[in-house]
Amino acid sequence: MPDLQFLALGAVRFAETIAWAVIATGLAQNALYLYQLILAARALSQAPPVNQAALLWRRYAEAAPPITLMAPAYNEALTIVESVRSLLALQYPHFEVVVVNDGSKDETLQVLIDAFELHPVERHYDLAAACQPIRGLYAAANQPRLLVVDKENGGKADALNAAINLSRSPIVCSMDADSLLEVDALLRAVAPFVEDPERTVAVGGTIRIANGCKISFGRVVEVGVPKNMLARLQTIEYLRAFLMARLAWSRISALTIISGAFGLFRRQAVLDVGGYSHGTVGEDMELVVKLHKHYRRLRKPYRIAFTPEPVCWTEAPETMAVLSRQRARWHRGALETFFRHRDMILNPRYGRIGVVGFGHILVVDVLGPIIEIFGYVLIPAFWLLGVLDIEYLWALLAVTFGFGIVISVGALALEETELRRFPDARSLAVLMGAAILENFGYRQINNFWRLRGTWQFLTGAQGWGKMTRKGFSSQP
Amino acid sequence: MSTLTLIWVVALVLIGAALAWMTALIVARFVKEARASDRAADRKVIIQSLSGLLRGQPDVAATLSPFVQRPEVLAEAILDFQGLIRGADQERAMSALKALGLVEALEQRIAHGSRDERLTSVEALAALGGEEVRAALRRAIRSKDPNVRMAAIKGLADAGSPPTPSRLLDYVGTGELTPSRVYAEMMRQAVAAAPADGLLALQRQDLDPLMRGIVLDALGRSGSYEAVPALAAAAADPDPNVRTAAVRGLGRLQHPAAAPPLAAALSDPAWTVRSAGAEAVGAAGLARLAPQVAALLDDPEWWVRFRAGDALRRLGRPGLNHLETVAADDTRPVAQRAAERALAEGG
Repeated sequence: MPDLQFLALGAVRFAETIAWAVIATGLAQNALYLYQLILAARALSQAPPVNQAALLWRRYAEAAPPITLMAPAYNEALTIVESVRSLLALQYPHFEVVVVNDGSKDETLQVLIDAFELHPVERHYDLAAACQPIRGLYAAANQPRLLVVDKENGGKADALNAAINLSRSPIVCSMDADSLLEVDALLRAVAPFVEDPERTVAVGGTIRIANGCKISFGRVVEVGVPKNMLARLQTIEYLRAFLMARLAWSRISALTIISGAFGLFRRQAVLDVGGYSHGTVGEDMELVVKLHKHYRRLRKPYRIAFTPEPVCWTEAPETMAVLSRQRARWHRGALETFFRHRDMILNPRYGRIGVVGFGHILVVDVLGPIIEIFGYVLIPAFWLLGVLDIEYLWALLAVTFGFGIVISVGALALEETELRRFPDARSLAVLMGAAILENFGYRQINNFWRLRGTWQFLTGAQGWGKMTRKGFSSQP
Repeated sequence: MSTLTLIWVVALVLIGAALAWMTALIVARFVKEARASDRAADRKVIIQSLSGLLRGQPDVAATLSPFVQRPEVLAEAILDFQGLIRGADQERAMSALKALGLVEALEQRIAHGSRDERLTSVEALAALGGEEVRAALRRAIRSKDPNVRMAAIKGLADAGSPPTPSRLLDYVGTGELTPSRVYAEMMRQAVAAAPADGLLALQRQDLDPLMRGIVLDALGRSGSYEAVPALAAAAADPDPNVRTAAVRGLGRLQHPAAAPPLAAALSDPAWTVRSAGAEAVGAAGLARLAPQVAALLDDPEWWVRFRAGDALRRLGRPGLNHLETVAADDTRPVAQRAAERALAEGG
């Protein structure tokens, strides 16, 4: 009998340890989010966004460096012409658009040739960044800002490398062919390159959800709240990720990712680190980490900045199946970069990027989903077995959820105080409902998707998975 | 209070705080919407009044004068209106506003407004023009806000009264301004207005390579041939960034006396200098340096090869002769490709 008693006591101790580990992880994550919220609020209050595009033009146009917009396209025949037209209409003094047809199997190249009256041209370029063979270059005299590159298929990173090789501007802008840019996106994002030209090597921009917005000719003309609940929850999630997390980490020089949907980079810096890496689905994060590593090793002063104003809009998945694939892929990409650069983890040689940036990934992305899922499975099991005090459990869960709601509302408050892009008080109320709701189910299911990403990473899964989009033409 | 109760209290306080925060935000939105609507209506009234003034409408001053108490609204309207008119019309409208005492009101706002208001006010002040405004802008340079200082100096430069190059350098020395691209643009305006002062500034001992580069760039763009000897001397500076800026400047001035330093630049150990040298030779049309430029067609650095090919094309027939010879030379494959591409790009 004493043996049984000993075992029962051991089980209780084990159950308590698991429960405390889950709660401690949840609280640590929320404390981290709170820290980010404070940092982001300080950043926004010290450098509030400029609302008027005309003011930006007056302030920066004369000093703005030339930019090459790099738009990789794969099987985009249906939308590419409208996307390129909207890119060519951006407000910026000196820019060119390099569209890379990445071995599309559809008529992407032909529709571009027909729409813009392109003809084959020669351009001197260096294969400084590795890419698949380039089959041809196309341009037109009546579109001096447009260059189309036709190359063999190699994926997004490969296409971006080809565009960098062809670019002759000191700054390159990476984007997705289906991203919708604000008309003054370049002018806003270029500010750090103008204000601090010696140190700035990259600038990330805020990405917003376009679902629910009114879109015309490749532009968001009226901001709206998505009708689809899943997209609505992602709107809050994006606010937390961009307006809070990335702005906060950029402020303390610990930003590890610039979204592939929009980012400006000093061309030479990208070439110095070998361009975009192949063989990863997280090429955007990989590039930023390589830049950090390069400059830290050389002990050269550098800056990777972030602009809080929305510069780019993207379509969010509206079904669980597509969203789950996207999230698993993102998580796999983050893990690939994290373990590829494992020498940087908590390594003081890399300063804040090693300790804060990688430490954050370790707590939130690597350990977080595993511990939380353990908790979701084991805690109810222990309760059923009668080895956990349910009263304490409910109370601590309430604290965790309370924290989560404060953080989500805080991110929305940052938007409302400094940017105010949502049209009216009703939209705000709807989003606040989403900010509460996302803590009950959405965040938890996200962890399952991330766990799936961990599994894909561990089993060496490759590829992007099928990514179905509704397309912007169907937006209200 | 037991531990359990305490945890519940913390949870309820957090949830309560979040709900209160949400409610406050929604209420604030209603208030802000009403204010923004009023402000937009005020801006419209101001712009309509200024348009009326240009049409000779009477009593415009009476409509505008209450807004002097709210200079931030007037400042926004001025910046909107400024883009719509030019020349004599602009001067008339701005004179009317100055007559209402707007300069003093904007100066007050620059001293005591929010960050956004300070910046908008100094930009609106610059739009008003005239000596009293220039004096106010000079006072604004003493602002604690670096953005206001930069905007005030830019306003003076745009009004044709930039600070002297030496003064601009002082601002960086004292930490009042940072050497941004906007600063470099202002230095260009300052040196263009006073090239001799730019040359004098270059002799200062406290300039680091970055600042020397900015002054050399400005001298190169000034169009003043007096700068050629100084740029030629700087083309031999130990710092490669200084040499690059000097060589680019020599290319922009396009003076034949630049040939010896440009010839030296073509064999510089730093690729940025060789690249700038090739570009400068092409820009200056120094055809006699074509053989040295052609030798760069098989430079290990792609940018140098590209600039060399481009420069040879710009040199006209003497350069094209070199390109055609190299394009036919199978023994130099790298140079051959550079020459072929340069010829193809030139059509």
